[in-house]
Amino acid sequence: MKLTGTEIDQRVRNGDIGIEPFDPGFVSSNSYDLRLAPTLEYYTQATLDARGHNPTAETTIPEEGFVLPAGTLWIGRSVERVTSPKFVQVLHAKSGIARLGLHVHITADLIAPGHDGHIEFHLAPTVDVRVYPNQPIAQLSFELPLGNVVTRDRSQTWSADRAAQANANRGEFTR
Amino acid sequence: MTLTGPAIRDAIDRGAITITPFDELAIGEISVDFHLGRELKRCIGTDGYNRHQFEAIVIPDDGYELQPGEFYLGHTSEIIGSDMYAMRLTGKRSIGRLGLWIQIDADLGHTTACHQWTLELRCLKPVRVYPEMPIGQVSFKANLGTVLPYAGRHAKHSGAQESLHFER
Repeated sequence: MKLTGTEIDQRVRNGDIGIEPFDPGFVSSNSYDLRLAPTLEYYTQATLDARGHNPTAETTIPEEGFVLPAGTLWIGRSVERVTSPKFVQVLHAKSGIARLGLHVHITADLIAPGHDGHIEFHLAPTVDVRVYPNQPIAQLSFELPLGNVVTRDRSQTWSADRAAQANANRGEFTR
Repeated sequence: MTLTGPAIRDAIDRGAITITPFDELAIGEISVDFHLGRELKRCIGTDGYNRHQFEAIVIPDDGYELQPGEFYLGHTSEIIGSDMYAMRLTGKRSIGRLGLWIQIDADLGHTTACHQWTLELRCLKPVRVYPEMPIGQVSFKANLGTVLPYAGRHAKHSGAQESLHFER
């Protein structure tokens, strides 16, 4: 079930949801607006490796804005730090941002309950688009899940060893 | 409502959700990770009948580099299905961070479907992917109403399945 804006506001005030800083003016009917923090990350190598370390560098969006060229990839984050131990969070672009052809995530809009921190944006412009520091760029909706929430340890990252173990564990299966 | 990890585990135990092969470590707070199958298909154009043509690729153990501007079909390693819950297949946040899309707006898995799921892969930067790597997550949603068996044509196959949209 999706939380209404009224419910989001109430849950922030009673501490069930943490949004820092919180501005009631950013609450809408079913979501809370997130702003783009001034620091952007970008990959410094031409090719990426899903199994390896992919180094990045940072740049700061100046007050007059920064053009993200079509077809490029940037990693940003929200100004806000969000804590939501009970509710699923779903990341959406603001509709005005979508109409500028700018993705704020790449097929990954689900954020599990228990997430505590800034929301990461995966910015993929379809056409050249100028972005500004601290501009509202995305919205976060909240959903009540079905069942108890148990937070899993995310410290274990995928590695070749795990892949080898996974392969060893897998037997033949029927198509 | 989206099922939490314990609710998913309970559903697997009573047969309401099928994931084969199943890895306990893959269950997260609200989803189960799935992994990239070894078969890829790269779109190489269309034939005289405007049907897309594909080059078959087997991802070797040391990986295969996807290229921007190309369109690939892949598939989940796992067979995933449920007779009780609707499913939603999305990418992992760590994969989105690499600029890799895993589906094109068709994230809904119908209740009663059960097979390996085709993935639609495209990337912003060249990215090396590996067989059996975690690439996405499936979440399960409670239904409201009577469930009818899914009769879609794409539900009868596993692997990286091409479109049957224009087939009669």
